[in-house]
Amino acid sequence: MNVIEIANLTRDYGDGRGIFDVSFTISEGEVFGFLGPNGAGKTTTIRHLLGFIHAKSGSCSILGKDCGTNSAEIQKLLGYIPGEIALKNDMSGQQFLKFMAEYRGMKDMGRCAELMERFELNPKGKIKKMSKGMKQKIGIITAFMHDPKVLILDEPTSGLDPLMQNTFVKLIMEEKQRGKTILMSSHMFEEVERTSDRVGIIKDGRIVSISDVDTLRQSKQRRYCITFQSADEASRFAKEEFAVQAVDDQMVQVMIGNDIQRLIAVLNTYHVLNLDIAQQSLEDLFMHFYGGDSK
Amino acid sequence: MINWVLFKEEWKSNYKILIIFMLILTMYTSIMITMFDPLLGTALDEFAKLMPDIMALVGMNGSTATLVSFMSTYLYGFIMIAFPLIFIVMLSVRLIVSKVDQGFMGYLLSSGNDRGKVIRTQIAVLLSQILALLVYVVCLGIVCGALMFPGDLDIFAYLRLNLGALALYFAFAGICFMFSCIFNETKNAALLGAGIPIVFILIQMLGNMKGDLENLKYATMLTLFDPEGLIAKTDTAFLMLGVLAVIGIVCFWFGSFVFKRKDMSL
Repeated sequence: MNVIEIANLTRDYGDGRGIFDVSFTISEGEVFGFLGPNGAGKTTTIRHLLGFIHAKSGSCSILGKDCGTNSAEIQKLLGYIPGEIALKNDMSGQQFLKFMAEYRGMKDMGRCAELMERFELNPKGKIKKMSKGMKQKIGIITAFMHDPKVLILDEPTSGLDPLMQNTFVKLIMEEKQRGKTILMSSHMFEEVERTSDRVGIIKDGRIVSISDVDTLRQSKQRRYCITFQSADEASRFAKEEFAVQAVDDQMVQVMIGNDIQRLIAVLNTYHVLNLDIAQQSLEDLFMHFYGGDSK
Repeated sequence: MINWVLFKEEWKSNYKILIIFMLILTMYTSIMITMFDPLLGTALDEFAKLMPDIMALVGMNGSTATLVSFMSTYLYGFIMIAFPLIFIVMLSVRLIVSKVDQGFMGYLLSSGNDRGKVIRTQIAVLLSQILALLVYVVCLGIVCGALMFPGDLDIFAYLRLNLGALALYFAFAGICFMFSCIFNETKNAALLGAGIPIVFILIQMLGNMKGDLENLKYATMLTLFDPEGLIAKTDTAFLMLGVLAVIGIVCFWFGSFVFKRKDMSL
């Protein structure tokens, strides 16, 4: 059964901004990673799902209900982490969580307490004075405390330290075990790689690919910076059968997918001074999908 | 109908503003009442004789023979219009548009309460706070009058006068609320929500000057609030209150209508 269905959703803000003909479905119990660089249209798509924006053309529905007209009904079973967490600054963390629970008509605060403990959140103190990470934790707890069936998480780990990111990944895995349907957006593949079953990539408002995370992992490419002993060697290496990106004196940049074994074998015949994996952008990771127009 | 949890929370985070305005109006009301002198005429009347134009500008040129007409002239000509208006503008902006602008509305609209319920709750907060402010001032006026000039205040005339004020505030609230719903940016909503009533007040000030400008009274909503007519119990005065109520209802309806349908970048 499809829990989230988006069909031909289009929202044109002019100047090529917006989303165009976005379609995908997420079935029950599935974790879907929604990946794209900043400004690609992830949040716009999510705003449609939450009912903040009404579809101009195309449609989206959750649990069989239209997101534009039935948002309140849907949201009773939905947990949401906004991309930019805007809490009520004049409250303390404790007051905010209590307010949100009562506002939802929630009775049982057990899950909330459990989550607070898990994320080591001390909710005392005014929200105004909290760090980004603290606010993010409150946002996470607000989204999960009523044990919703569907979760829509817009860049949920931003601001969390690596330890807390791990805690969060564990939470997602557990929720998945319990049959929850999850849409999670991110601009980093690593973040969704560990939890997602499928990944949809959006770029410039268009879905460029939807595939299994395993397939993606295989087609994933990394940029290696190799420094050779001499410029001669570097230019000799540049002639090998690799996707060489740049040659700069002794250094060569090369894109490698899953043929790392072959690279190691070839490098054996050279004097390598240094081998580095460059800071990666989404474009690097998914050269395969982004194709030529990313340059 | 409304979400009581939100209603309570909004009262909690806005009562301080209400108290500030109660204090401001306490000061004006009590000081003004002490200046009333049924026998000798008042110091204010002297001002009115010396500078008739300026006093007329702020609506302080009416009859001052009885305590209630004195209050209607010196309090309900300007003070009881301008200060409550500022209160209404601040509150309407805080209740809706600033939450959209700042982002917290995202939480209010993603937690199983539909937009209609949220907006009805905010209207209830706005109206109940206005009512609280006015009821407080009315009680204060009655108490001050009874203490300083026992037996002089015609309480029913005073209540009619305040019923008029209530209708006026209701219309103001409708206008401010409507712009707070229409816009997604605080500054635009505040500009129009405050600006339009202020223009009405300015037009009324000019219209108070007798002569050529008198016809300007047909260009301002404030003419619909007629303190003298209400004290004298004329039918037109009550009819005009009905018009103010209709203005308020239409604005509240239209504001909610827009809010329920608009797109928000939350």
